[in-house]
Amino acid sequence: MRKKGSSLSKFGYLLPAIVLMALFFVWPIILTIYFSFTNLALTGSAAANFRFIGVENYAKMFSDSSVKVSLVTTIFFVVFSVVGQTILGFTIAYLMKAKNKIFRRIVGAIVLAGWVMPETVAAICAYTFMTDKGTLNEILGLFGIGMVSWLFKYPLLSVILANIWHGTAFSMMVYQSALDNVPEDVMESAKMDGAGKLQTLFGVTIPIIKDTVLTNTMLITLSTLGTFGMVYTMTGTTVQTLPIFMYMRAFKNYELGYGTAISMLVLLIGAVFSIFYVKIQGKDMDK
Amino acid sequence: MKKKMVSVLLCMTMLGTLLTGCGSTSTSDAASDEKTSETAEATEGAEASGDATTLTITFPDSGDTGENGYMYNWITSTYDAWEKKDEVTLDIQPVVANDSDYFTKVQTEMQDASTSPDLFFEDTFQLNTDVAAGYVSDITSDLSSWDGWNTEFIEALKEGTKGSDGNTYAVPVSTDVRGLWYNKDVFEQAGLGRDWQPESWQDILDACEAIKTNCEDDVVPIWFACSNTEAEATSMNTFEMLLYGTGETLVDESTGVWNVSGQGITDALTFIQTCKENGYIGTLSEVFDASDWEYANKYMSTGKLGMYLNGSWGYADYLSTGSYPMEGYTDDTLSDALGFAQMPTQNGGGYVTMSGGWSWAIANNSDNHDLAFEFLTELMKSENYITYLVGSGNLSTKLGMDSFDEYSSKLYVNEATAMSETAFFRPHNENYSKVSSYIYEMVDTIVRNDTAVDSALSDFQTSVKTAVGEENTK
Repeated sequence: MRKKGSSLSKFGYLLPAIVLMALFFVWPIILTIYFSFTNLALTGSAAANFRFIGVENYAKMFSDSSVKVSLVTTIFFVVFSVVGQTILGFTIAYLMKAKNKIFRRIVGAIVLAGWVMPETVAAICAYTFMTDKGTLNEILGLFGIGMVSWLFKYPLLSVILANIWHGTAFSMMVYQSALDNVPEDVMESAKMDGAGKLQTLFGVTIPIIKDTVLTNTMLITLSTLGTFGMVYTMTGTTVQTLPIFMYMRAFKNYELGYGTAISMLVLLIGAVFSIFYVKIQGKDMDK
Repeated sequence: MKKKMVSVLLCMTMLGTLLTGCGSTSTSDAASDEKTSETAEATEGAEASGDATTLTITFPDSGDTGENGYMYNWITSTYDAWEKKDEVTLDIQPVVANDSDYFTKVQTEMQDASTSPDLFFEDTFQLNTDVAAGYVSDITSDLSSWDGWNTEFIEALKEGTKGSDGNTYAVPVSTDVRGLWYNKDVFEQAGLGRDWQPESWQDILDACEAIKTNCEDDVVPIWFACSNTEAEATSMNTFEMLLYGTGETLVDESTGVWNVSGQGITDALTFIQTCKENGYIGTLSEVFDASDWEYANKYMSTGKLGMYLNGSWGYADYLSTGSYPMEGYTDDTLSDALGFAQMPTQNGGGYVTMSGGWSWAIANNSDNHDLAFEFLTELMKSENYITYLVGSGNLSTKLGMDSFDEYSSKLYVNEATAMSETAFFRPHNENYSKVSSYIYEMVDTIVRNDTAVDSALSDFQTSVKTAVGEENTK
């Protein structure tokens, strides 16, 4: 009896959270799934004759060559952004460990500056940096290198670099706290056993913070996958990652139903990445 | 301890930034919600008791001119002179966005009675699709009892605001034409003389070549909209100006069959491609910039651009009041520096232009249809309407406006009016806006990615066929 009561009260405490999640998270997802099977449109006669059209949107997606292009673009964007942010974030955190406090503070603040800015502001900074008459070209000009249209000739590279700059601070902070929690005695015994710096890093430190690495990678993968503001502000519709492509189809071609079908593709990719990370993590825990 | 304080401080700054970011959006949201609910309340109140009613009016304000804008002035001065001023409150809602985002916003608002404006400014090309969606109110019967409509408006333009069912859904407010603006100093330098009128596409290409050869390297021979961000401008000002000059049209108005495989389409795209391949257009990063017209205007006003395929309103930017006053000239001498040539047909023998324009329409979800219509007729009274004409630089949709000196003395108004007599209109078809989006994507990829004409065209055909049905294409 007592047991039942306690589980009931547990449920009671959870209820507000569950209701909120259901209302603002689960319900919109269900609606989106439903809309992706309809001809939902912003205007035109389809907007007046809303109806269920089965898998038509999905069939169209598979025959649309632009979908393949933007799928590849998205994967490039996500993989390079995530790898860049992870490596850079970790390196900064590792190099800052056990350094002089003032140095840590200055470097930390500089790196954080990119992250605390709202996405659009960060994007505008990156845009003014890389635009034809921007800072980057001015600096290159000092070394006698002529103007390069970064945003036009290498748009994908530009947004990846900007995204890495914007997101590195997050990885850095996560790794800083993880590294601070690596027990000193483990490090000391590794040192006493004669392990070199690199050996300690790869043989001791990284295995200890492995879970943090995985969680962090998953978090930034998912947030990068949905990036819209950064890409759109910097290059308009030039770099057609899936979110941009989805926006074009939904709001420029007025096909909201098709747009939601594309968003399901984004959701699917996110799910695949998540399952992949969870699997790796789970395997490790079993050991 | 110190370290902790610093990190707390950092966190607080961070949170602060985030919160201010969120805060400002949510306040503005709340403000607009409030506005809408006020409107709704006011309307309900009025229905019940006959108190002051609120009329909501929305229009695009891409330049963020706010209360200094000519649209705003036009509406407020009309309202101030309106006899029903005391009974009706105006809720003026300018939308600071480009045209394409403005449409999206208004379409979303009109879906629901609680957010729908009463009177909204509508581009005539967007009208048919919005009519098909059921957003726009039929005003045919209101018009029949309005004397001004029957006597004062240009007949040809009345066609532009009819739906495919033959009923009228909006009142035309402006019209415009397109042609080639050219810089006479650049043309003289290129050995083409100060007065120029091309007779075929080849003449345009020849002029480009002459500018490229004879002028300095940084002079761009020709500019036209060709990007996704220019959207409708790419379709209409560039592609359709070429296509209709080949003798073909986009759609057969009698059967509703879309032209997706005509030779004219290939020829138009090839012309665009030729301009790019020969280096007649500007630096690609500027041509594809989100505000590419600012580059075009800057170059035109400083003698760095030969010609610009653009609308009849284009000169306004080069006036002393515009963003790019013509260097070395005053408003009185602008016509010595800037010419407006007609766009020739492909192989000569005539000229072509496309005509567009804006209109006032009443939302189907409006609670104040009759009042909105009444205010519309007030806006279109000549003494009020002149504010709009002078401010926008567009052509009048009403006869007799040239009795106002402010209008008839405007530069290029005679040239433009003459062109408008033989102008083509965009298809009166609810699918036009969708097809247009595929047109500009096709033009964009040809210039941006050097996509072959055939392959871009075949993507276009597939998209249009899925959008309008294969049986409706040829």
